[in-house]
Amino acid sequence: MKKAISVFAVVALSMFCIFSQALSEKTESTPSRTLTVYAYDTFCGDWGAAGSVIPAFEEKTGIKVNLVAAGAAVEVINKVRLEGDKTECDVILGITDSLAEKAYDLLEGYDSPYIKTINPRLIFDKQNRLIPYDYGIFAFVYDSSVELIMPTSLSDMATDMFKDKVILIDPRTSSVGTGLMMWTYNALGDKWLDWWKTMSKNALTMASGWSSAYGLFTEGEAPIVISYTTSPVYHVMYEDTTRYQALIFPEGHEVTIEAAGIVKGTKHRSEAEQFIDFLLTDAQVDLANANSMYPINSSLDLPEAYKYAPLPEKLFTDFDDKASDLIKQWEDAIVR
Amino acid sequence: MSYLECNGLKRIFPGKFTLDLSFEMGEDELLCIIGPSGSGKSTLLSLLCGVDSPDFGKIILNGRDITQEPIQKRRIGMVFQDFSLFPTMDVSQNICYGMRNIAKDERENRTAELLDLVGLSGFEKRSVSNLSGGEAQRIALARAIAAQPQILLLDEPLSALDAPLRKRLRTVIRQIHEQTRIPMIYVTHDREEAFAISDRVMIINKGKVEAIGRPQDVYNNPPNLFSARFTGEGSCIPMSLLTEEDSEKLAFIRPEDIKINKTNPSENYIILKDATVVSAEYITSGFFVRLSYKGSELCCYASSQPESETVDLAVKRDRVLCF
Amino acid sequence: MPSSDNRYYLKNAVPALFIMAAVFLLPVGTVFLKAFSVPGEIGRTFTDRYTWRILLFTVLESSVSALISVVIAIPFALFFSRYTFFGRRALLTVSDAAFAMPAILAVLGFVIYYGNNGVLNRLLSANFQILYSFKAIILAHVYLNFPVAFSLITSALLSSSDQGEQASRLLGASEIRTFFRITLPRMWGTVISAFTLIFLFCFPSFLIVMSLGGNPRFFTMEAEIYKRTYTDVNPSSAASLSIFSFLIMTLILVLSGYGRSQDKVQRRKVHLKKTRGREKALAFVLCLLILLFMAPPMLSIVHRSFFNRDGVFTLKAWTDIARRSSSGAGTSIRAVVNSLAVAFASSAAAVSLASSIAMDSAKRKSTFIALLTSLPMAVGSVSLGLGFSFLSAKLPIRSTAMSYVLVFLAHLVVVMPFAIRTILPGARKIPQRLSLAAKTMGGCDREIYRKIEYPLLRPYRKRALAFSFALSLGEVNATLTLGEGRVTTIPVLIYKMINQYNYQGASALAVILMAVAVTVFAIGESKGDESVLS
Repeated sequence: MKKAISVFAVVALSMFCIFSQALSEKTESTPSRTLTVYAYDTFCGDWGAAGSVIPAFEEKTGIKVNLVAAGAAVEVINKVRLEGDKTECDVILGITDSLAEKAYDLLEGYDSPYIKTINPRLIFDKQNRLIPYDYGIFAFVYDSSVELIMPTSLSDMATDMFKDKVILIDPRTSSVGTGLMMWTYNALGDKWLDWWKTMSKNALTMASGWSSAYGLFTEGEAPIVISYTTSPVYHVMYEDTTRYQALIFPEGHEVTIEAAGIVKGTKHRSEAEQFIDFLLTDAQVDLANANSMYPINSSLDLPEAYKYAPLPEKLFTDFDDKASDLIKQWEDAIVR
Repeated sequence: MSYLECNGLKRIFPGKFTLDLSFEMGEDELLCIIGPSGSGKSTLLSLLCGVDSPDFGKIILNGRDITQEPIQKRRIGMVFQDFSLFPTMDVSQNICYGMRNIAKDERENRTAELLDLVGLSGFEKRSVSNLSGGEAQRIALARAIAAQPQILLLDEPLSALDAPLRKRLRTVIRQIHEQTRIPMIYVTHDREEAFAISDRVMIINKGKVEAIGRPQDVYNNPPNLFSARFTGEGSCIPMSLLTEEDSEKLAFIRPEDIKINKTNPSENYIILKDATVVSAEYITSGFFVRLSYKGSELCCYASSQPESETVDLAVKRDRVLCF
Repeated sequence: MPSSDNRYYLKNAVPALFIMAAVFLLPVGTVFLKAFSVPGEIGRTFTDRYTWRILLFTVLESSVSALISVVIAIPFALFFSRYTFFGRRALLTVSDAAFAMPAILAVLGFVIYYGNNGVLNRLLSANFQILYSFKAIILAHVYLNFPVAFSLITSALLSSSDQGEQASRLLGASEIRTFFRITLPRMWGTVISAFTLIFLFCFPSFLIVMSLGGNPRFFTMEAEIYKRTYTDVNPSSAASLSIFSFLIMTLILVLSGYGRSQDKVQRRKVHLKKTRGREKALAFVLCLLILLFMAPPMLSIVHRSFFNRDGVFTLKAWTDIARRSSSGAGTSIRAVVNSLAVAFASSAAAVSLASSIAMDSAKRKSTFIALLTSLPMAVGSVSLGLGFSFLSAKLPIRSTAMSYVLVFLAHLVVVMPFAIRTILPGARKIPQRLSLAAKTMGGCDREIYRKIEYPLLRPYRKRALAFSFALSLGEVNATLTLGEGRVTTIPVLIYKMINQYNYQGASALAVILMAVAVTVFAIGESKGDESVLS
C-alpha cells in the first residue's frame, strides 16, 4: 500500500511540477483580444523571429498572440486541415510558394493596403490568400577558409574537382531540396537530371533537411552547401565572421517566398488583418534578420551585414506547381 | 466419527488420468498417503486444499462441505517440500502471516510458543534466506500451525532434506502431532517414513485407493499384490511351486518368512529344495540373499553368508499370501 | 474453479491495459482510418513495386546491422559470462545504459568523431571518409545495438548453467568443438531474440539513415513515410505505408515468438572465474576494444561542448545553459526540469502499470498479453508521430497543460513495452506455491499481491524504472509532435540546437543527458547480473 502511495506521489508531484509551470504561464493575462498563429518550429524557437516580432505586435496592438509551433511548414498546413472546422487557428505563417497550392483552400484572401509595397514579381497569389512577407534566394554557400577554387556555375560544380566537397539536400524530404531541384530544372533545362546524376555521386552527402546540411557544413564536413544568398549575413551579424560566402552563378537563381495567410472562417478577422499588416510593415526588418531572408519591401534600409548577401541579377520566379512531377522524374532517374 | 470425508471424489483429465477415490479419516489421526509417482497424490492434495476442484464427489471437513469453498475459507494448512517461506519477510513475520484471529499483542507470545514447539526458540528476527533446510521446514510447520488449521496437509515435507535429518525431523512432526492434536495428512513416497510416523496409511495407485489401514496391517495383510509389493520386499512366485494344486494364482512371501537350510522344519513350513544363491548383500543385521528357484526369483534374510551355491528353503506356510 | 482463476490479477491489470490500449490504439487507429479514407490507397501501396523495393533496402539495412551486432557481441558475451575482473560490472552497466541512447546523440557523436573534419581525422591527420555511406549506417546501428546484443547474450549465458560445457571438456572435446556443440545451441534462443530485437530497432531507423547514409538510394520505410507526409503532403498514402510497415514488423515480432516464456529458468548460477595471466591480458584487451568503440564518439561530444567550431576553448555553451534560464521561454534549465519531471512521471507510472500487467500474464502463463504490449515497438517513430498529429488535431482542448499530459501519455506508451519486458521474467520466477501457501493461511489475492509478490518484484521494478526513465529521457519524436513547441525537453532542445547548427550547445546538453542517464542506470543496476533487456 505504501508503495502504491509513493508511486502515486511521484506521479502526482511530477504532474504538479509540470502543471504549475503550465498554469503560471496561462494565468499571466487573458486579454479579450487574442489571435492564434500556427507557425513552423524554427520561427517559434529561441532564435526564431517570434522572439522579437510577437512581443512587438502585442505591445503595439494589445492583442494577445497564441503562437503554436506546429512542426515543419507542411505540418502547419496539415494541422489546420486535420482540425477542420474546429481549428482555433486564425493565421498561418511561413508557407513557401512551393507549398501554396496545398494551402489555398484553407485560406481567405485579404487585400492588405501594404501589398503595394511588395515587388510585383514576388506576388504569387493574385487573390492574396497567401501574402508574402519575406523571400530568399537559393545559392551555394562556401567556406572561404578552405583552400579550393570555387565553382563558377552550376554545371562547373558537376565535375571531379568538387568530388566530396558539396553537401546537397534531398528533394524528397526538404523544401530546400525541392527548391534546389526546381533551380536546376529552371537553370539547366533538359540537362537537369544529368546534373543530379553526376552530383549524386559527387556530393559528399544528400542531407534530409537544410538544418542538418548546414550543420554538417559549419562542422567542416564539406566546404560547399546548398543554402541561401542571405546565409552569410547571419555569420557576419552573430559571429562577426565573413568566412562563409555565397556563390552567384550566371545561370540564374531560384527564389523562395515565405508568406502568411488568414484561415477561412476565422473569428478574429480584424486582429488577423492587423497581424498581416504588421508583418508587412514594422516587422519587416526583424523578420528578414531573424529568418536570414530579404524583406519583401525592397525600399527598406537593411543592416550593414546584408552587403554580404549578394543579389543575383537573374532570378527564376515561376510559381507553377511542378514539384511533385519533377520529384517523380528525379526518383526515376536517380534512385531506381 | 469421521472428521474428513472424501466421498466419490473424481477428477478426470481426459485421455491422461482419472482420480477416483473415497476415504475417511478420524479427528486425531495422522494419515499417510503413499503411492508411486503419478499415482494421483498431488491431484488429491490439490483437490483437498482447493487449488483444483473435483468433477464429482464431495469433501466434508468437520461436518462442513468444503468442496466448493475457496482455499482461503477451507482452514486447511499446508507444508510444502520446498518450504515456500515468504522470502521478503523474516521468521516472525512469516509465522504471524496466518494469525488472523489473534490480537496483535498476543502474536508475539504465540510466535514464541510455536518456535518453542518446533525447537527453534529465539529465531524470530532471523532472515528466511539464511535458514538451513531443516530449520526452514520447522518454520514452515510453525507457520502452518499458527493459522490454526482444521487439518494440516504435508506434501513430501522431508524430501528435500538429507537422510539423517529426515529421520530426526519425522519424529519432531509426530511429536507436534501428539502435542497439538491437529489432524494431519502426510504425503510421501517413502514407505519407511510413512510406517514410522502414521496412525494409518493409505496406498493409492493410478488414482485409486489400493489399501488403507494401520501400517502393520497393511504390511502383513495387504489386500492386493500391488500393496504387498509397495509396502516392502518380498518374493512373488507362482502358487504352483508351493502346492501340488494346479493354480494360476501368485504367492507373495516376505523375506523374513523364508529361512535358509532350516534344521528340522516343522509341518508349518513348505520346503523348497535346491534353490540357487544369486547374490548375498550385507545388511547390518545379517545378509539379504537373492535366490533362484525353478525360474522364479526369491529373497530372504540370513544371519550369515550362505556357504554353498544351492540351499534348501523353508517357507512359513501361514505367512504365504495368495493373490 | 475456486482458485486457479486469477480474476484479481486481471482486474488489477485492466486499468493498465486500458491506458495502454487507449494511448497506443488511438494514434494507430487514426492512422488506419486515414489510410482507408481514400479508397484503393492501401491496395495501391501494397502492390506498388516501389514499396517492395524500399522494404528490401530496409530489410537489408536492418538485418546486416543486427547480424553484425550479434556476431561481434558473441565472443565478448562468452568472456564476460565466464570470467570476473576489474571493470566488468561497470562495462555491463554502461552497455545497458547505451541502449536508451537516443539516435540523435549517436548522430551527433558520429559527426563530431568520425566526420571528415572530425576528431578521428584530426587526431590522425588523415582523411578517412567514413560517414555518408552504407557502412556508416551500419556502423552507427552497430554502435547503438552492439551493447544490446552484448547485454542480452551475456545475461542469458549467466542465467543458464554451464554444466554442459564442463562435461564436454571432461570428455576431452576441444574448446572449439565445445563451443559449436554445446555453447552455441545453449545460447541460440537468445542470439535469435537479440537479432530480432535489433532488427526491430533498425527497421524504423530514420535519423541515422538520413543523416549518415548520404545517398538518395538509402531510403527506408520511415523515410518514405516522412516524405509522403511532409513533401508529397499525402497523409493517406503515408498512413497506408505506415500500416504496411507496421504489419511487417508485427509479423516479425510474432514469428520470433517475442515474449515467449522462458520455461527453462535455471536457478543455478554460473560460477565466475577470476582472470589470471593471459586471461587477464585478454580481459584488458576486450575491455579496451569495447571502450575504443563506444567511448570516443561520446567523449568527442564532451570535448566539443568546451570548444567552438574553430577549436578554441570556450565555456559559452555552458554559460548559455545557465544564462538562458533567467530569461523567457524554452530555456535549457527548464528543459532539464521538464525532462526529469516527464521521465519521473512516465517511468513511475509505467512501472506500476507494468507490474500489474506482468503479474497477470505470468499468473495466466499468457504470452499473448506480453506480445500485445510489445506492439508499440512495431511502430516507427515517424508513424507514431503521424498518428499523434492526426490525433492531436482532433482534441477539443489545447493548452500547455494538455500538451504536457499528451507528452506524458506518449512517453508512457513508448516505455511500457520495455518496462513490462523487464518485470515479466521476475514475475515468472515467483513460485506459484508462495501464493498457495499464503492462501491456505487465509490470505486473499489482493493481500498476497501486495505483501508477498509485489515486494519480490522489487529488483525488477527498480531496473525497469531506471530503464524507462532513461528511455523517456531520450524520447524526441512524440514530444516534438505533441508538445507543439510548448514542451521542451533536453533531447528536443538538442534537436533544435543541431537545427540551429549550434553543435557546441547541443553537445553541452547531450553531456547533461548522458550524465543523468548513466546516473539513473548506475542506481537501478546496483545489484544483479541480469540485463534489463533480458
